[in-house]
Amino acid sequence: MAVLLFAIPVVVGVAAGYAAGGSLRNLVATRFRALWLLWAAAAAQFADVIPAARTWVFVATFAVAVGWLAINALQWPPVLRFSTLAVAVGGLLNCVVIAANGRMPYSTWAASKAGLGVGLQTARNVAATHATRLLPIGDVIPVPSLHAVFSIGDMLICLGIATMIIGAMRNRPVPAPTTAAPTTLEPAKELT
Amino acid sequence: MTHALNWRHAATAVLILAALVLLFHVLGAPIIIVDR
Repeated sequence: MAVLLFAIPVVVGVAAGYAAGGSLRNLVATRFRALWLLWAAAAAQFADVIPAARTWVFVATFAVAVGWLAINALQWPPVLRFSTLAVAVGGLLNCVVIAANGRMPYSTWAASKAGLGVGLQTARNVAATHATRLLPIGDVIPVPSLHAVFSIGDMLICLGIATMIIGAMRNRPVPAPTTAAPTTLEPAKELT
Repeated sequence: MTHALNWRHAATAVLILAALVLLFHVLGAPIIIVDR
């Protein structure tokens, strides 16, 4: 279920990319730099089972992901830059509310709407209380069909990833100009 | 040769798309049912 949920922006992006006349060939031709950073950040998340390391893992993984966005935004065309901005802003909103509360708070109303057990606590999520700060940017958007609750940041990240894929699938990288060797003109032969 | 290139493209596309799934996993924080 979780894998399916996290794959949604990618599946939607690929489908919309094809619908918009793009292709995976263009996606592959688009330069995605340092993809290993994302794999490393995802792998590092497993370290958050150690309570003492949780804050550092959280900060490090967010920093690495935002760093990856910055590295690529610098070399991408404007459409793809817009998508990296959406993902970065979404990530920042999630980061702020998690930093303010220790975990991502979720609205109990939204959780019951989505068919989730109220009071459920996960490694990242905790039920909101009166003491919760910045709840409007927490998990407050119920998605009953997925039994999930999203935040505004999650929505922005989904939108950004989907548009990143659409943009890359429609992107036709301009081939590097070939540096042709200067042609040496032979001196004109004098007609005798 | 053409087939080999196609497979390489397909593998690269899978790597890119999988990395973008991980990007959502790292930055996103939706709550979902984990114990159903």
